[in-house]
Amino acid sequence: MVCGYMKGKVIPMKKFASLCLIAAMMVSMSSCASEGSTSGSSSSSSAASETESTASSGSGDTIELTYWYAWTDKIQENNENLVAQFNETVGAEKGIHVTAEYQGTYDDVHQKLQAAYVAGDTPDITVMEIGSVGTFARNGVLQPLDEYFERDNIDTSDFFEGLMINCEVDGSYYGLPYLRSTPILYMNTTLLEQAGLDTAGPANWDELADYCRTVKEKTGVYGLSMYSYVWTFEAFLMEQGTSVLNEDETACNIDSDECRYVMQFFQDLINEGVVRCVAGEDSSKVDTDYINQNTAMWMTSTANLTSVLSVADENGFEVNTCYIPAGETYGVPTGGCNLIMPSSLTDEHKDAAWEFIKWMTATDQSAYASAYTGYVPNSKSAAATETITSLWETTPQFKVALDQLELYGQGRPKTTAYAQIEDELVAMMDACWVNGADVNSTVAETAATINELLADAN
Amino acid sequence: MLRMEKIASAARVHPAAQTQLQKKSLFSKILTAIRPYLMVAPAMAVFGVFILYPIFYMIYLSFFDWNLIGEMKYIGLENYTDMLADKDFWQVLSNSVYYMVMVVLFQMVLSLLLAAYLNRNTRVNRILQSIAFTPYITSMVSVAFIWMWLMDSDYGLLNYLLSLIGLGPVGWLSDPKVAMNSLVLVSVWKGLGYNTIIIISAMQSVPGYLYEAAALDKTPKWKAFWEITLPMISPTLFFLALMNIIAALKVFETVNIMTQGGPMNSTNTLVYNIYQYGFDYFKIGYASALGVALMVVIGFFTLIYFRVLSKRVYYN
Amino acid sequence: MTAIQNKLHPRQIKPAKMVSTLLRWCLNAFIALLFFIPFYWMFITSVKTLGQTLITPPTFWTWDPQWNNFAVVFQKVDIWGMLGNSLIVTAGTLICQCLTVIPAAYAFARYQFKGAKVLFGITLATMMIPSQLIFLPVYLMFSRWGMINTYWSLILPSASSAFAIFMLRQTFKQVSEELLEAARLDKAGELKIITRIMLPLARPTVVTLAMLTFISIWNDYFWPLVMTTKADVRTLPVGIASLRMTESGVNYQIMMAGNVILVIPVLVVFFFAQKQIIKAFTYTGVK
Repeated sequence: MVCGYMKGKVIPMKKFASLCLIAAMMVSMSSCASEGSTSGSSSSSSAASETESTASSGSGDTIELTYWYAWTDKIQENNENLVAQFNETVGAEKGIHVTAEYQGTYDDVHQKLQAAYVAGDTPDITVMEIGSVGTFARNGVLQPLDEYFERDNIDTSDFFEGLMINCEVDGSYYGLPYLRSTPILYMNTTLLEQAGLDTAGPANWDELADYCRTVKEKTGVYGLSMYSYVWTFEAFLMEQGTSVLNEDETACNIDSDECRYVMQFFQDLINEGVVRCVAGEDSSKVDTDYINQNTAMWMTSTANLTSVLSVADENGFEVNTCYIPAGETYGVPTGGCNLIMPSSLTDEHKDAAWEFIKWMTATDQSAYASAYTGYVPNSKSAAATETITSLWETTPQFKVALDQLELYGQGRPKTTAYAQIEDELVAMMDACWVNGADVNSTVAETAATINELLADAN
Repeated sequence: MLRMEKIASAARVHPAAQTQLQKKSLFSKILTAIRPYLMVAPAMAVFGVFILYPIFYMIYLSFFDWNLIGEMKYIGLENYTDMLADKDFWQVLSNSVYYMVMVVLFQMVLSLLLAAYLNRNTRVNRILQSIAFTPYITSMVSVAFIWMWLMDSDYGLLNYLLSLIGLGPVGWLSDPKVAMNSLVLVSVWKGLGYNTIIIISAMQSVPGYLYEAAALDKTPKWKAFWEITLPMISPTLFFLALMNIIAALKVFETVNIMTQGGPMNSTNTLVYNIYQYGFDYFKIGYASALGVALMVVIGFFTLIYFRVLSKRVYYN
Repeated sequence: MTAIQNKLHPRQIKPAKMVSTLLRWCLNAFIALLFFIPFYWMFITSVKTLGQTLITPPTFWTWDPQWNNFAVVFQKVDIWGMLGNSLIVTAGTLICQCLTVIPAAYAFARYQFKGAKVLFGITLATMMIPSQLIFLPVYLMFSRWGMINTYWSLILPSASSAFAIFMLRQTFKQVSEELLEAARLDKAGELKIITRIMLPLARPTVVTLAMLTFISIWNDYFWPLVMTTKADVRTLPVGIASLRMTESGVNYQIMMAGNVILVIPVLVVFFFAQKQIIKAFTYTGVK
């Protein structure tokens, strides 16, 4: 039907054909054999897989659990190590064996969990970024944990208050805080000293602006490198005494003087050339900037503290941390993940999964994870452990995040529309901070779009 | 043809066999009658289950509000009215069309030029064709990675080369005015070799006597190209244009890897938008409505294509 | 100048011709570099240190190649497992396509039956529907069947190919009817006719189609990304693409090292079979 003619070209390629055939045959034969064996995830550390084999061959009644986690490097090691410990101790005692599976980023975890839930093939426990707990809980994917809390007398007041906010949705608890963080301000103190600035860091926004200008003037590098990041944007609004969404999440506070002030404040500094902001999908540029000492300050999660310290060490500069400078007040959202279990599990698996969640978030494990990665200890008792107190003595940078959290930590929005709202916010920041769009009109437009999304969601 | 005769003799046909008439049983009669259907059945099953049914399923879903996990709620045409009222949708649609027009335009013009340049069958030209073809058979992931790195605004090679001649830096992937063009560039770079080679093979099948006649008339080369080559290869050009249109409308990889639809939605295309609504925002109904919109767009351009084509065939 | 040149080259080369030759070589070099440099840049970056990727001006050569970058890739991505998945999916698709395409093409080419035109029309129409259009409903179907994260979700949707049916039908049609009649009188069954006569005759087409399928499935990123969520069934392109996501900034040297692993097999095959591959693709264009 197309174009009418076809050329009967004969292509001599016997050799290639037979090669292909052989390859295809080999593959088809081996495929049957390898289908089962490829499933062993190679990302798990050797320590974990060793215990895996010993534990599973141990008793016949072991309950096998799957645990999904996000991120690699230190965080991955921490997860694998804790799971191995669990399998050796409590797990071995109670006949529970957990296999940890790496899943990528938080977004990957959420996407996969959704797919798995529909297919009826969920993991037994998974990490969940706290901003998504609301969405999944309201759709019935998550198991409420209230009865387990009661049964085992979980002392919710031991956990830091700011961390419990996103564990609770509509009056029920759906998880416990695991690897939790807040954004903090990181400073290259070597550069700050060169610029003749106090290495304690800026206390408020005026000082922040001064710092940026002085750094640029004295050293030539940027004062602050940032990207269109919803999490720190939430912090900025909190510091101006407002928040992204109103109390009952029916409308946003974007079209407000506070928000316009935030947008204008940074836009001015960016226009002056003392602050650099890159687009949301270019976030990695901030990392390259600080590694290359192309900026004196940057904001990111406490979770990166360990790796930042080692990078600084390798590249010969000193790092200090401080609160995100205050606007009208101090204020930061919390972040990171909770441990949750899906509602679709059998009761037996729920009980076993609960044992794991309880253990992972308990005092000693929380202290271990905090020291290993830089996430904050999740409870007062964990913060009081020897592990943490001695860590604070040697590296006081760790303490900043917890102090900030205790004093000013708040929750994140819970609405099901937040994934889409976040994209709108990033677009707004990209427009104003990367592409110099007019603040007033952009803010008004974004606010209208978000309000529509919220109206749809409710 | 020669090969066929060889096989014919290999099949060892005995003329004597013709005399042996066979009585066909009822069973074999039925078998003969349904055999064609049995033979096409597997392929039809695949098309039916994985292409046709999904289309209807998608249309069906577009009338619902559904987040994959909760209840499905029938909402009539609301997804469509929402979609048409959403300025993001119109941006995404115009992005897709812009991308398509640019890709097809540059792809066709550049590959035509390159084909004209490499048309003569020499060793050097063949080597150049092979080199130009290489990106086409490498995975889009690789190509996207490579260009993402080349286009890095701080450390990329492109901005460095520009700085040598005193230009830039360009925000290849971070400037909303530029980013979509960068994706066009990547796509054209990847497909140029393929399009060129197809055009060359069409050019080489143009009968030589046409040119000889033109040479006798002392027609200038460019005129011969315009008056002989182009009309002769136009069916191929049309075919390529359609392929490029469809390929451009289904662009996803570069968007997903290089820009994720940003900055400021400037590279968000229909397929990526469907992906976002389906997998990031969990709005299955709305995503399906977007899918229907994409189907309409593809159908529209395919139809235009066949209209133009049938006209052409008619005049011939 | 011209006088001297004329002396040196008694057979007189016209300056105009020299200029055009020179121009031609410049243009040739430009075309070659245009397609070569990006690949070169990938290779050289893959053996740089992080620091070397971040200097301006960039270096075009390194004396101290960091092979360790490749080890990092193997650590971060289960290359062998995903390579195996790629092979399984590609081979599975090829086998399925053989089983569905060959009989269908034969039936369309050789039998006259009611509805043949309609069915063939449907077949051709499916060519116009890209998988990017219908991935969402197909994903939902598979997730309802619990087949997400199985090889089936990757193989079945491409278990047949309208394009291949179309091409193979054309080839089968060229086989002369007398040949088949002769074979039928020789009591050859239809299966035998297909395997002994048709396929050998159509082998160039079959091989070409197989190669096209192989390359497209091997390189595919979209479908495996959408249909799978677990590393155990994901194919190599998806695995390599995951290198983009790291928490500690972009490490272009690692990304490029992964990319080299992904590209090398294709480049090697292309290098040795470029004539055949290019011919195969040319074949797709001259319908």
